[in-house]
Amino acid sequence: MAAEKKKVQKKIRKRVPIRIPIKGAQAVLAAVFFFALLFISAGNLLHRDREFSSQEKRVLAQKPEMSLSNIASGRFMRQYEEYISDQFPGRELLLQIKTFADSISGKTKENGVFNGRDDYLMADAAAPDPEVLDGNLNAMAAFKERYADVAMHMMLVPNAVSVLRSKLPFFAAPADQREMIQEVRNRLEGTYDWIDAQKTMTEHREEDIYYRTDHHWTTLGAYYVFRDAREKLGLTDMEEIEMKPYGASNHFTGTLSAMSGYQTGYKEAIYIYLPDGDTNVRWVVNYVEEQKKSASLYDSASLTGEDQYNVFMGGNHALVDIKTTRSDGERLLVIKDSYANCFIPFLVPYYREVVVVDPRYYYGDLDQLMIDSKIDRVLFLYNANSFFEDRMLYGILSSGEDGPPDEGGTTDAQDSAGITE
Amino acid sequence: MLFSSVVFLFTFLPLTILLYYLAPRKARNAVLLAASLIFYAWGEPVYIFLMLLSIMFNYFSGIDLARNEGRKEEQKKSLIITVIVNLLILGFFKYYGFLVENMNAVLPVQIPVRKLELPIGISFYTFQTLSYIIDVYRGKVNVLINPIDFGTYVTMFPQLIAGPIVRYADVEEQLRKRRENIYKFGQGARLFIVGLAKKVLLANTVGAVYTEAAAQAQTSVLTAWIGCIAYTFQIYYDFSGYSDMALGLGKMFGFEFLQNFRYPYIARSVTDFWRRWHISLGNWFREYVYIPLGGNRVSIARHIMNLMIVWILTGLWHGASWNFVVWGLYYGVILIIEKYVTGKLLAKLPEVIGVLYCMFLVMIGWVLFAGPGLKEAVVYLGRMFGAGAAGIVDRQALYLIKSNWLLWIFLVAGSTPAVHRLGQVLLWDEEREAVAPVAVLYLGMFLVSVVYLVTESYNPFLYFRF
Repeated sequence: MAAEKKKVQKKIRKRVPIRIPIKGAQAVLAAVFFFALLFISAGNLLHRDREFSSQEKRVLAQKPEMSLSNIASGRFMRQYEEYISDQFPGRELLLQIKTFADSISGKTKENGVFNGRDDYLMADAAAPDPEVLDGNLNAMAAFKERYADVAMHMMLVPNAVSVLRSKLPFFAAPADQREMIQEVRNRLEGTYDWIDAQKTMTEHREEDIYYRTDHHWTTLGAYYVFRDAREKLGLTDMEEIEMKPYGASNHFTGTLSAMSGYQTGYKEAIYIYLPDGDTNVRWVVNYVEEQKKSASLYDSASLTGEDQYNVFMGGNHALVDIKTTRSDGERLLVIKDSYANCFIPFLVPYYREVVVVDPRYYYGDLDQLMIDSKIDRVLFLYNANSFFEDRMLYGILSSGEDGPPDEGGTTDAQDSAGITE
Repeated sequence: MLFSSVVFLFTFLPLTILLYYLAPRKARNAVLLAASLIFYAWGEPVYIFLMLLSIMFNYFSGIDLARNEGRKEEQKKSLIITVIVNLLILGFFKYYGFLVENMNAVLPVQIPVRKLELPIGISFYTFQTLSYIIDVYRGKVNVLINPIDFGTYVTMFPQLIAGPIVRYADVEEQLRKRRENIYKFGQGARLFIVGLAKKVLLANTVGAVYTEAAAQAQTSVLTAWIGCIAYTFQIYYDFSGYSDMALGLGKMFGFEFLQNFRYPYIARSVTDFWRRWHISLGNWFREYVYIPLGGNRVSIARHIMNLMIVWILTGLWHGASWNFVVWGLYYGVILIIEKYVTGKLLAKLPEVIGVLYCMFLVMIGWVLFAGPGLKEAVVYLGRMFGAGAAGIVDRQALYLIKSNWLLWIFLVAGSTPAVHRLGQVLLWDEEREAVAPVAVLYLGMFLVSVVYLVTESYNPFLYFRF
């Protein structure tokens, strides 16, 4: 028995020939470890600091200032830790290595992003904080009450994770977004006119209505929803303006890829829609805070930039005021997130004026805006994930309720939204 | 500072190693002390003063005890005062909020509750200094005159924040003269890498699985069990990984600490489990509580009481909350039953049955331990046995199994001596070692851990609370 064991060991030993006395091996290990430490540390030290990570799309932490008060409070240490790991050489490559290692182990989700079938990356469904959501919905109802004669619509666009269920990885069980959307619908029943984006998107789920590497819907998805929403928005009486798609990019890689580290290699197309034929409606887009005006809703400079989705209205802005040459249309207020950016071009030709507010950036008084701009109609346009994670809506909708807010009213409002936590 | 952090690995550690080995032998403890103080101050700078105060107080108490040698009465008084002061400091920072909350609940008083930030490692270093003081009193060790050596003992960064609890008697010699050499450094590096990989690759990853399973509002029975198993692995790899790193770092600086874990999850009984889990804590309680109470050389009733006292204290040591008390009681009761009723039967059972029996009880114990409160633990236990669960199996459960299959294999294999034996068959024996594959293996483990560390924002450390 023992002899046999020795035999086997000898056999194996032959296959792995270079065996040295144990002390020598320990010395080798000591050297390997020590030099690995030194090598990486030196790499860290000599590596030039970067300001911005284009992959992660965020500003990186910089070397913190060393002062006695900073050290005593522990702030220096926290900032230094952030700095060191943010500036670690080759972070992006490391993320890809990790994602690869994880997928060997069977993982199909990284950083909240599913690695789905047919190259689809999909953000997991966000679960709302019930109290914050409750606050937002109450504020929406109260807002509607203040403007009884203004028509208000709610359009809550489901995310890919809930529509493209057949593209999810095996066994993946994200939270049921449809149920959450239905709850919102029930809550707003009777006050808001519900535009059923879920139905439209589900009907077209076999088409390219979501990007594969980005968390947005495609312009095609937005177009279908717009077509179905026309009646509700009261646009069917007006002459239809044909829109035609034009390819704006064929090599778009979205944020989900950067977030997760999944490199599907899929290059996406971005389409923009322009009025076809002879409509004589023209418009001026006024980016109020940026004090910039443009005759186009598209920003072609973004196509060479970090995030090509910014081609739609140049990204998110606090307040955008779009005036058209129409004299017969209404004045529409859109309260929105980034899903609206590719939807607004479909609306604009039908209105006299479209005012676009992004509550995440807007610091003004919404009630004042309602009156000053003589708004006839309001559209809330959100994608489900960002609506369920939103903590700003409550504040901006309630700012006018109890008299004028003090300086920096939105920050206060934000805090009061925070109280509900 | 955590061992599993980029700052520790690539700033603190290389600098400390360089300074330590460049310094003359006589100054090495001073280097270690300075490094340890920086290490300690990194997380919560204010508490460095508490630490220094504690060191000074115990240093002089030790000298006071030695000065009164031969005068038992004087010594006893001095010992009692020192122990009480140490326990009061620990009690104030760790148990004050808990005590006040319970007093408010029971008594007709309303004392304002102040939640204090727990000084890192206070449970560990208080027990270490107590071991010194008590052993000086008992005459088991000599008093330490050199304050730098004493400070080094209390603050030594490898075991400062998460143990093992090193008794002074075990390092008395080493503090004054110890051998550092490249072989020991190599052994230390190896242990450290294994510990780091356990923490970063296994504990953190399976911790995410636990979080996911526990976060569900509704779970099936299977998902609840997966969550429980995940936590069971997480706490083992987290804590034993940290202990491995501590032992490894100790070796790099010439210290030999005692093993803190010996494959606890292959224990055949709960009694056996506690000989394998957090050994240094069990030893401490035996040495300084259980035996002074009379141990088992007393009547059965008294013995049972002794055991219960030790286990309530063990529970409380882990945290100031009722679920830890219940967790301690739970083990006290099981151990008494094993001692007086089932012990002999367990020894006769096949090994597999013993392991399954023990793991079942240990896992139930971890649910109590994980909390966050007693109520949540009871609800969770209910789900594991069908009460309030959404069916037996759901997609969530299958997803958690399938999308971590390799991890589960590593987790199970790593809890047994199998991996080590495989290494023995393939790569090394008593005298010789296949150096190239071993070096590649360990370097690879280290680099992959670094990759996970840099990319993983999820890096909490479970034993911090204690």
